[in-house]
Amino acid sequence: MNIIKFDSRCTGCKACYRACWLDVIRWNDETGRPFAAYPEDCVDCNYCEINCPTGAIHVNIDFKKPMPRSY
Amino acid sequence: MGKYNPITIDTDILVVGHGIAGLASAHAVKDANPDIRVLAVDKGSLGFGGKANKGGGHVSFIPKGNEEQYVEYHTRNLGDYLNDQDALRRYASSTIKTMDKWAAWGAEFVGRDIAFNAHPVIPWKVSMVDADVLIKMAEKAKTRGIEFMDKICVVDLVLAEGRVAGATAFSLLDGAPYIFKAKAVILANGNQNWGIMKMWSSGRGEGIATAYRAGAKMRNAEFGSFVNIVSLDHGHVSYEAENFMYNAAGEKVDPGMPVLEGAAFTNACGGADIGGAIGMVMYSHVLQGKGPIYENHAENDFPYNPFGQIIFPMHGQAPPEWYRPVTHKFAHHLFDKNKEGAYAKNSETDLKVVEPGVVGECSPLYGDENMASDVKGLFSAGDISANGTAWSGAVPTPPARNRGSGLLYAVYTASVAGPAAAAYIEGLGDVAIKEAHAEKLLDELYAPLDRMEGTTTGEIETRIRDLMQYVPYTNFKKEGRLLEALREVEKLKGEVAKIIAADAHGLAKAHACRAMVLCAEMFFKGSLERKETRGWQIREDYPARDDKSMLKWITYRKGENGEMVLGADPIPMERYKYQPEGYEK
Repeated sequence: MNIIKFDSRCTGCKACYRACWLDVIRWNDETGRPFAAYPEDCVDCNYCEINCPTGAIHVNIDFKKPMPRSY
Repeated sequence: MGKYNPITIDTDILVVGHGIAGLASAHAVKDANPDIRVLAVDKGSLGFGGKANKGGGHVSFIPKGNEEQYVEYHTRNLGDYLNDQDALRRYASSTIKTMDKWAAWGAEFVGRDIAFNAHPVIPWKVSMVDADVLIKMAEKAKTRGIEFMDKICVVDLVLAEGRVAGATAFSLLDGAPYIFKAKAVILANGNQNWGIMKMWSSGRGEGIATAYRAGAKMRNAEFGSFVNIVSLDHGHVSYEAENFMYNAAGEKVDPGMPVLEGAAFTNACGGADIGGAIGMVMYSHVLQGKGPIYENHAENDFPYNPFGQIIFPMHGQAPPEWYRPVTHKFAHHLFDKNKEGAYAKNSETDLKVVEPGVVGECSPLYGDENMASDVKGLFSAGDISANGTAWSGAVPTPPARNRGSGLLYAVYTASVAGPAAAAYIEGLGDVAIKEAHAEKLLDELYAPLDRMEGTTTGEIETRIRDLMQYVPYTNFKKEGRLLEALREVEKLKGEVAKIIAADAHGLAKAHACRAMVLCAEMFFKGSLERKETRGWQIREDYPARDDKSMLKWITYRKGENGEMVLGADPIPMERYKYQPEGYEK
């Protein structure tokens, strides 16, 4: 499973939350910050990273995620 | 409304999905009549929904004067005579007009004036859009009064007096129930890809299931097994790998030539794309004990050559006239992090194990010349009905193995569906939604949350992906194997009826699972019914094309008792311009 981290450069702009199309990243209204709610559904598109204006997001890709069998 | 007290929202036309097809549909409705209220909803956020910003961004158009050449070539070499030639001709004649409309809706084309030929025979010209095209279309849409809602999952159509009256939905964030009241619905929320290949993960066929449960006709689901080449090191497509493959014995693997003796050979690619035989080709080497198949990464210079840098700029930079800043950033990240990252961590050799990766593109919702389904008030645009319209024949679509037609076809069908829906609702009065009907639909919608025990979405996802990814089931078909697959589908249907969810995210997955199993059932039943090899349908036991009894579009719909009923729409071949050799009226 990928591990998604947000560092202190996060300004709370919500760009990553909007860019995440698989509902992996959710928004915490109390803290005003994103959090990785469902990292098991992350498909390593990195859209959150490329949309973050401050470089605060780090998607650590698990390259050993299982793939279904082809034959 | 009873126990649910749903949030009720009134509009004229509800567009489900605000990816490329949904955004274009909303614009097209406003072009037809700016006074019509349009609401587009999506499970994602505006500007990032769907798949349009996760691919190459290619826009292939047919130059004026070459339309008929395209229709003939496509019919004979790609669609294998299963095209609706009228629909194909309408598309071919509209690509330039569609681009003009699309530009007015916010698209900015790159290279339109210097578009290059992408095919050795037929002149389809490739230009491009950047990966922020959805954001630009959305910005423009807001200025036209088009309304949007994010993080909304539409589940069922609400019918009243024999026509569409709205839809049930829930919030992906907190699970809150919604009823959308609308005189017409345009489904533009994508096709079925079973969540196997990563960049296609948003397409789980929820809209197909929505339409099916409302009684809509489906067609051509048996062609929904497009494969690409996936690297096991990173789980993403390895672009151009098909041209640099070797088996474990060190022999070159010809992507168009199976080595299995007696195997059917078909390669409906016409020089356009990966052919339908690719999965079988790789499998045939494995069956001979020469697996796995490797991509020689050192030979594949696609990321580094000038053409690759224009098409999908993973490394280096495209020349200024082809430079797309967002795509550049996206593709660079994919390459640096995913591909190079995986190779650095997983192995030191240049030989990387690759397999066929099922993308799917099962897109069976029927659409007529107005993109209307046979449920009154239900229209569609884009991927959801790309095979159901039959424009592309016996190949998975989009992009109908004409790369660069996926985006343009979505915008084109939206430009048809929008005005058709607008015309349909003109003068149409409101109908009252029956409370009991809506409540029953909401009962079904929330059933996975209400159950205390049952089958998890994770289990169903794993099992359905194992089924669809398995080449001997989905790419190299035979009766016994198809029946075996169908037995598993039957078991999964039982499990889906007991599916459980813990929260709104899980509820969305539960409904996606229902759609995944439904599409698998259509795919395998249609594959069994089509006793021939044609286009992307390859049957080991029926290796030849059968123009006597199989020139028909296989149909599927929900029967009165809930069972799936198969039928066939005849192809009017007698009046079509292009007929198979030896065809007898």
